[in-house]
Amino acid sequence: MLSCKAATQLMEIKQEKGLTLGQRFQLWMHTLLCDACRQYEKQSRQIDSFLKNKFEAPADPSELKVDTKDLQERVLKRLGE
Amino acid sequence: MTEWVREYTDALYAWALRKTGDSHLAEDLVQDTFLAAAEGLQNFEGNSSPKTWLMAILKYKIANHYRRAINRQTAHPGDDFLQQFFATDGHWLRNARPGNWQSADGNLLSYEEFNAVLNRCIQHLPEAMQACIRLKFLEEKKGAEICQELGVSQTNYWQLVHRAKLQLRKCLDDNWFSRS
Repeated sequence: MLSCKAATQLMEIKQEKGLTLGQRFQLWMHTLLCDACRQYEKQSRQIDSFLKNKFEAPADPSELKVDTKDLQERVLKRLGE
Repeated sequence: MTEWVREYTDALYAWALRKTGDSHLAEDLVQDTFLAAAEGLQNFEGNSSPKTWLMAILKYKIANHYRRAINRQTAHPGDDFLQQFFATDGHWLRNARPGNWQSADGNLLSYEEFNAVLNRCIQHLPEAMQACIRLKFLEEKKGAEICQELGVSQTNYWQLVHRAKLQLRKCLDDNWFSRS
């Protein structure tokens, strides 16, 4: 039987590249019997979607709260223009 | 180049800030992008727009920054990290067992407060884990591809992702889902 440590590690591999048949069966058995790991898997997916939303949302310049004038000047100075 | 700086700094900076969550770093990366663009101007062939070209350079600069962060991690992540979560037999420690998240739903990111907590939790991750998570979501790359680029072993990559997730989950749990 897998430990919770091994099971939670397999969940990451499952999400990204998939598991072998043997690993899939082991993980299925484990989560069937382990309530904490079932919760963990659900939450882990949620965290993935939080991160996905956060990093993949299109960057909209109009959301900018800062003025990039200073930055522009610094860049131009570095460029010698 | 001056025109490009005037026209595209906002867009590049917005993108860099979104990806890094760090205004100083974002400024440095934008600056590096323009310097690299000026140096490599003869490589710009004009079959893409200047903005697309600059964005490609910026993306490369961002990925490169995190790549270096992961490579700087000289010591192998120690096993004591996992001792916060698991007993020696590999089962959850009583106080680390995941419980139910009542208020979790898909709209959480629209709440500024939650977003602030999420940001703090990401920033608190050790550098290499943070870099790993950011790279993973930066361009939707698969683990194997990231490992290849980073020159880290697959095992090390999965370890980093696993550990980053454990710590993020705990941080969100402590500061949001289970707070009283």
